[in-house]
Amino acid sequence: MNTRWNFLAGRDITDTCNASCSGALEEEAPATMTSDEVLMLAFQRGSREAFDELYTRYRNPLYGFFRRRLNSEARAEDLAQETFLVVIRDAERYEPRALVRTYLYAIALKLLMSEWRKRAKDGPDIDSVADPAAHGSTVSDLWVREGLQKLDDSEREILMLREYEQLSYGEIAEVLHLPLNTVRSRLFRARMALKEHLAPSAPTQVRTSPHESAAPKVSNPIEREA
Amino acid sequence: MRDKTHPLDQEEVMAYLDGELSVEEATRASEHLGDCRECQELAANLQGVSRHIAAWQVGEAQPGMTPAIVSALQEIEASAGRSVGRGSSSWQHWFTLAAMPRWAWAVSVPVLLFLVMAGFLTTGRYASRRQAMTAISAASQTAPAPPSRPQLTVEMDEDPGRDRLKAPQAQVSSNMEYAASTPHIAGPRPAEDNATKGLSFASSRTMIARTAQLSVIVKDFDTSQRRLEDILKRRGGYVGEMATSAPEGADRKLTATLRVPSNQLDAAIAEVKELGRVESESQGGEEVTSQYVDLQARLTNARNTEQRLTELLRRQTGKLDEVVTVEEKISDVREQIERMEAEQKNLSERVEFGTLSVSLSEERKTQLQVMPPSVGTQFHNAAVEGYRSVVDGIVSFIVFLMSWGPTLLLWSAITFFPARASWRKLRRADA
Repeated sequence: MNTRWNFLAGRDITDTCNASCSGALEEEAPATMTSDEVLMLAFQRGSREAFDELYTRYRNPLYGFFRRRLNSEARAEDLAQETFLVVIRDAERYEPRALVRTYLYAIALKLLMSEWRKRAKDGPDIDSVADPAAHGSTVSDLWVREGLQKLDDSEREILMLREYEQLSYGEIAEVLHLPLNTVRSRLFRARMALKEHLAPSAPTQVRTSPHESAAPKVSNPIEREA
Repeated sequence: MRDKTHPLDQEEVMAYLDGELSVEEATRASEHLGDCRECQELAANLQGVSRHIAAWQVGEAQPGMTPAIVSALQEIEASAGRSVGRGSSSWQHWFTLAAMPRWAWAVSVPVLLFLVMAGFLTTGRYASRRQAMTAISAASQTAPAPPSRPQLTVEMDEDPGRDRLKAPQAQVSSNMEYAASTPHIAGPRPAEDNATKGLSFASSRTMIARTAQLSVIVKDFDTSQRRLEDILKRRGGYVGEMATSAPEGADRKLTATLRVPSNQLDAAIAEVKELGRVESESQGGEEVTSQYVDLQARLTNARNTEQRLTELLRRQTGKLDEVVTVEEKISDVREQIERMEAEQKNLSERVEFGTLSVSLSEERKTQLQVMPPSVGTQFHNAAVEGYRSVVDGIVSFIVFLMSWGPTLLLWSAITFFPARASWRKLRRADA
């Protein structure tokens, strides 16, 4: 990718949105080009089409978010759907100060933390031990997962949010409630550490057992920071 | 900082690759990376890590929403319906509006009026432009107006260094340039494929828009008109425009602009000529191949640009004003696409269908008027004329009074007393 949107310069979009969102919302026809924020505001006003569009846009990214952090495919599906349920139930609480993307991943992260806490308390589910996705994994997949697992929890989460969810530094800082510079330095450390993990041996030397190559367990970086 | 010779630290190199630097910083980083082997190596390492990470792909989610989501949505819809029934939210909204401070009203009302006026003006301009397009399309005779170039320049050649070091920019304008200059964020749309096919089709053969004009004098006007319609039907053409005039005491005339398939045009001309004596005939052809190819290329570019912008907007969200700017750009590009598509359609139609302008005139047959008007009719006409002249006289008098009356009154009032004084003086002098 050559360029990115500048998320860092001014995140408060309320003022401009109050003036111009309403006009866009009157049309009640969420096209593919409509921004997430406009769609979310339309959904707040009761537009089902706006929600459908948001659902289409974020169904797979949210599923991917959970799938890479949990061993269970079914649970990842459930939690992705649960994220949307939270969005539906708390739609009125959304304020266009934050980007919808950040808002969604913040919800997803909370659900993930809750899931981990539950697992820590109750013990792992049966389906989380046997990971069906691991059977279809390539060696390079497992190699990367292995490398990620060796990283520090907080650094791993930052790296994953950056690489898989494609969040900007500013968005990551907002989701994880961390200073921007901390995000940047941890991301650098994570990348360098992963490079070291990936570099010394060939991918063929990695363990390929599905039981041993579970998705990286990420502890709560928010709690760690606190 | 690793070394005094490096103007940027390692994290900045990473931030540069992630597109997280400002334009100035990115420019500085880009210049340094061009020269510094050590930083290039670091950049390559970082990119390598990203590539490795990207190897871990997960599948897609199951399609469809769970019953829980569907029922939650239905609940929301139901509750929205109830609130609309009560009218609470809309009334609250209006109360909020009414409670606005005076200064807010004072600012918002003129702004609103200005926006409405601007909207009208814009709509007017747009409508007139559309009207002009329609006129061009309908007439199908004049050459289309020279099409304006798309405002977004699409450069298809990519910077060779770009692949090696992703050069990020942080400004919206740069994003625009990026969107316009980077080819194929996503695969081409089916419409684009068709367009490409059209391009090769157009470039493989010469495209000529044919026109012909015939002026024929016929003996039996009605029969000739029917035969003309038959010819048109048989040759698979259609009437672009037709007008007949039959003034009393003069010959009848039919002028028509017929659109006939190009391969049938010669046959149609020959048949029309057989309708009577040909008074004048002319034929012409305009080669529009280059015009078509040029239009096609610009259309393809504009479609690519639209797709890239849409993709950019879909994938990445930024501040609302940035999003709005992109949406405006998309809207501009779509307008250009529509305009070019209309031009293209018009051009294709002109090539596929030749334009045959036919003028059928009836041979002049002067008729003698043998029946004079009856006595009763003459009396009736005289009475009507008399009544009309009386009414006209009265109306003219009233009109005269109304238009000159005030002036006459004024001058009478002014001259009355001097005239009376002079008159009395004269009478006294006589006495």
